Amino acid sequence: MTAGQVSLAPSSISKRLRAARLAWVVVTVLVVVLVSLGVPGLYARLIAGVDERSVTDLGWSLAGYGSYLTGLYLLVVLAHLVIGTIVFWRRSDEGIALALAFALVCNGALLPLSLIYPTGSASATVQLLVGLVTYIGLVTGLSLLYLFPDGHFIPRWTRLMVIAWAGLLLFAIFLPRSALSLAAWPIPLQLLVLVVWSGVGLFAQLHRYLEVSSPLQRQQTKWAILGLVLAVLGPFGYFLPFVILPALSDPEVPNILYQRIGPSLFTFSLLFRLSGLTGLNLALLIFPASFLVAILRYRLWDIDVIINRTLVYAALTGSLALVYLVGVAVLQGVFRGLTGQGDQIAIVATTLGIAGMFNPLRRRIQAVIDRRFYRRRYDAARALATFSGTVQEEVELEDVSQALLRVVEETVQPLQTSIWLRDIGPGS
Amino acid sequence: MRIRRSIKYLLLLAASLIALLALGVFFVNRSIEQRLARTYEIPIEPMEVPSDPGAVARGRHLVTTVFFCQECHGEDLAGKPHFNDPLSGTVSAKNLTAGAGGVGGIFSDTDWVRAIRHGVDQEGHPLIEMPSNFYYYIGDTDLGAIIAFLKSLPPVDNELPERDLGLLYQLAILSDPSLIPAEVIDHTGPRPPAPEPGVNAEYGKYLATACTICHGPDLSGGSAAGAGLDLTGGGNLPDWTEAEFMHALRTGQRPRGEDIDPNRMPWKRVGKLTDDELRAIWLYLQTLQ
Repeated sequence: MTAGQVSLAPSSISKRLRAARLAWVVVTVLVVVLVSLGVPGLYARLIAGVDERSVTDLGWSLAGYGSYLTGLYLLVVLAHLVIGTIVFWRRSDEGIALALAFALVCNGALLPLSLIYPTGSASATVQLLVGLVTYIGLVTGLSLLYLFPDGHFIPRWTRLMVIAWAGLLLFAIFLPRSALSLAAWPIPLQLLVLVVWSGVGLFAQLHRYLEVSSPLQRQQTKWAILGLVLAVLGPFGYFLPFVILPALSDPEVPNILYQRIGPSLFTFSLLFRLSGLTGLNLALLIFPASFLVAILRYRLWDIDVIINRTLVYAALTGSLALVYLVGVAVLQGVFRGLTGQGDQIAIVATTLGIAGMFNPLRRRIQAVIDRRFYRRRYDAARALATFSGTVQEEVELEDVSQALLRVVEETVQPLQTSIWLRDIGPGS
Repeated sequence: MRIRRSIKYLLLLAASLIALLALGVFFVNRSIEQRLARTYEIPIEPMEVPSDPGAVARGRHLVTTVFFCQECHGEDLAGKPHFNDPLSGTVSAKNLTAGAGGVGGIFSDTDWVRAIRHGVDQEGHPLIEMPSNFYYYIGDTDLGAIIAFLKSLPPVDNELPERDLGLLYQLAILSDPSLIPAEVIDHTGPRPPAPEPGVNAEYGKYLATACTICHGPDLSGGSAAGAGLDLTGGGNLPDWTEAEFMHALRTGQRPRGEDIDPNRMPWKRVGKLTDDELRAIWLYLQTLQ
């Protein structure tokens, strides 16, 4: 290898990486814009696609139903976007982390985008952009199953599976009517393809986990792999009945028939679909959540501090906003009852209360998150705090020594513990 | 050790629940299948079905405006699927024409009477959903006209899937036996003679037969979502006049200008009733308290 070749390789890698980073930014902005613009349409479509009688029978309003499902979809998009952005921000120099960032951002938007822009409902340009996001999401999502965590294909032949998958999806998404399009194949064949590709991916991960990974890698990746597996398998359980029996999604029947049969059948049917959609969205959250756990608890890619801060301040902002809203509402009621007015007083009082609560609440949330994800650090800190309390109360050297030994054994768990006390004689 | 034992008990509990559930599903399925396999031996009185244009026109009027047959069987009466999913099963309203998959070409006059009035098929097995418990009281002349019109329908090919009830639908039948109308009809009971057409409450009651499906047996409305309004005095039409009632059913607008949802109240069908028929119904509503 010549010096020229050596100097060229990193440069070309760097160029590719820069291009990939730029592509991620473009795709992320595209996802945010497509989803944001489509929210009113999604809400309207959800309301139009449900039988109002069954929603009413459940004790809900159409607005409540639409808001609930829209909120659920947006939560999924947001969770994927946040984790994807953090991974990109801190680790976009690693190919596999960049692939994960792509997969998170695009996969989180797959379901909402398919509902917002069903085939033929938008302009060709918008459909093309949605197709692009879908393509990137599906290719990177399945590729992760073959590449995670080190970015190498193990076994090596699995690279052919990913290349074939990318090719299949290219036709399915951009040329859906071509003979090579997966979408044009008979449903059993489509299912077979999905089962084979995800099955081989699961086999590759299992093989890697059992035969290749070190104990540390296993610890770091087990949650992430669980998330990947559920992300691949989860939607099967929900979509399969719709693929086989599309009528499941069309609940509207003439009122005379509805009244003849009675509402319970239709209400239960809606409840079933609603539970299914809730379950599906919660299952979709497992994908980002499992990476969150892997990053926080097992220090995957060492970006736990950023995630920790994000969690703390997101929870803090949410809690304070909730307290503020409830506080203003309650205090306004109280002051109006007492003085006949009091909007301003309520706002000022609540704002002051919020300001006073900021630090204690932040410490409390930090403690909860540390306890949940940083058990070792939390236990050690607690043990040291207990020990310092003991030292303050004990005057006997023997007792202090015993307490010190105990705390070291409990927290560090060494094979052997002993204390050497330097004998300080009088006058020395 | 304790955790392992707890998991064992939990698994045992889950297995027992699943077994109980499976047993329940099995018995529900068996019970409904037995009820649907029953054969009803119903002596059908011979009926003369006219074929003159007047009778066919009367039959068309009854089918399309009075008894709402198109709501379930489709605009061309060629049938349509109502359910086709794993939970509810496969249920369709039959193709009434003589086209492929239709009963028009195979039903005799007696078979039509058996299906409409008694809610059973050619072999005497019960139909489901068919509101025969309401249509049992249709007079012979009108039933003859309805059959004459159905026999005159242009054939439409529409093969519909065989009935296969899912668990939800079976549970619905368990909670409401009238979904198998043959079970709730007194097939040999007396049938009061149908009133002569006229502008009177008695004929209005006869015309309002199918209205009771949504508005309840005494037209006092229902509590279910989408149920019909309370049409009795002091109900949901307290200040309405006869003219307003007729205007609402003709135009789909209430006296205060609000629209009537055609998906809930089929006013476009009812609005085609003649003035005399609407007046008769109005007179009948005035008698309800």
